[in-house]
Amino acid sequence: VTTVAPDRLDPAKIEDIDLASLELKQNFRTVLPEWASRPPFYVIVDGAPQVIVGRYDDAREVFLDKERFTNVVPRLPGFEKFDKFMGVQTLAQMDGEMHARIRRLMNPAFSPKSLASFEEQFTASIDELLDGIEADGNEFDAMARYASVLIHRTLMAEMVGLTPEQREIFLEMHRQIPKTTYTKPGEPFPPECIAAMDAATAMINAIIEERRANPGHDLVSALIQARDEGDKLTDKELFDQTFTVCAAALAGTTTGAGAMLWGMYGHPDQLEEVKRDRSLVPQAIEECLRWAGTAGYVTFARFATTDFELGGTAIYAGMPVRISPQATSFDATRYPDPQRFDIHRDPKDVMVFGLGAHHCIGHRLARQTLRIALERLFGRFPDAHLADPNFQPNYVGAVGELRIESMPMHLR
Amino acid sequence: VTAAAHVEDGAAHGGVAPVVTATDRDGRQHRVAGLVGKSLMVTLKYEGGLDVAADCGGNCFCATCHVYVADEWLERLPVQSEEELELLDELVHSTPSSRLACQIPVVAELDGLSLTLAPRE
Repeated sequence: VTTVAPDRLDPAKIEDIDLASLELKQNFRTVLPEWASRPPFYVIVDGAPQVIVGRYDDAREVFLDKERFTNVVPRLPGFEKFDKFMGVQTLAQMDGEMHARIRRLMNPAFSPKSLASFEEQFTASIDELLDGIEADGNEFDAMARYASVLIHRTLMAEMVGLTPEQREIFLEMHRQIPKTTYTKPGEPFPPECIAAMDAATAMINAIIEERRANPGHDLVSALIQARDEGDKLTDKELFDQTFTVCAAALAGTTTGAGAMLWGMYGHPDQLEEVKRDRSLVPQAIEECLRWAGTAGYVTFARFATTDFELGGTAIYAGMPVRISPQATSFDATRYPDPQRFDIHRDPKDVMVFGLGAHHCIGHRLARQTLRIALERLFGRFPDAHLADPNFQPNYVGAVGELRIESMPMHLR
Repeated sequence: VTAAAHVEDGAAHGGVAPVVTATDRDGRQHRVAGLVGKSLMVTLKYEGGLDVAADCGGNCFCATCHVYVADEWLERLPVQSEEELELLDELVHSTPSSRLACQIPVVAELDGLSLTLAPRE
């Protein structure tokens, strides 16, 4: 396997698109429907081609085909950039038996039974966030004060059991991580990224030691127990997965909760229906996840293991293949009139959490967090609304992410 | 009983298609022709068009293809793996009739199997 030279590719299928551009982020609603209606195409990133997959059926093929795609990053020049977390081996970058073994050990912590046991804690913790917002007056930034901190409460405070100080160390790392996705091949990661990562590493290692001595009702204790029962998770794996879960959850639920609030509060009539009939909440959230940009415009890369065609486009061994989950949500063959927001659509099989062996282990936690967050917000503050009824989001975040920068709201 | 068309489609895939009766979450019955050689999950989701999430694509990781199998069929199915039992044990709505459809290969002998989709969770 070598890096594929761009001159091997059909020039008609090469697009001059900068995946890291803020313009692409901002215009995703016009760009991605076009990706969703065309065969896979190439973009050249730092001189090497990547394949972008936007149609629903093509994406499903990539997600489900374990023979022709791997999540393990090939050791090729320039591919260090795919190592997003600086040496941490995430579940998303493993395949086969190793992935299955770790996934199986982690599954119980994210299972319906486990999450049901946290429901009251999560609700109380999210209520504290609303207490804080209310104490500071009528106006608030729904991103900074709510969407981006929900998971601090449900996962980090309640499930992992981090103190406010420990959470701050992790958040600093989270703030630095997007910079690594903009780091060019051969360039070192910025020093502030490395420092933040080192601090998070030391903190997690300290927690592992502490929980080993004093196990509790928390995720790290559960993982330690899984390890000690059968010598199944090594210390490095334990660290890597604790880290991964927190990092992935932070990014995913911040964008997801932002998208949910924008979807619901941007459509007040449909929000009113949901308030009147709470049985609509789960499907309303699914429609927000489909419509509002939660999924990001490109995922982490998968890598082709052989030469073949996908949807009529040639793919060569070693090429990074990147699904655009948000484009698949705009595929009109799957979701008719895809730009229309309709809570009664009840969309199925939205790819916001991926599909296949790497489907997000935390999807139930994410949906539970979003459900509680929406119900508590409109339950306690039924008149809450966007400060500007004509609000249009500005998008920021790492390459691939569609994170709303801020969303001014009023409680009353 | 609906979806008779699926039965004809299924037969077109070759061989004897066992017909499975699946009851959805609204209590409606669907007759679906099983795809021999694939899993019961694939049959329900792709052949029957039923609302089965099957998020992990049949890897026995997610438990979103949970079904209740009619009592008389339970002992006629292949025994559960340790992995399947672990996942079922972590569901709120699992019962002694619970199976993960992705872990049941479709064979001709499944003709007449009756099952109900479990609640989403």
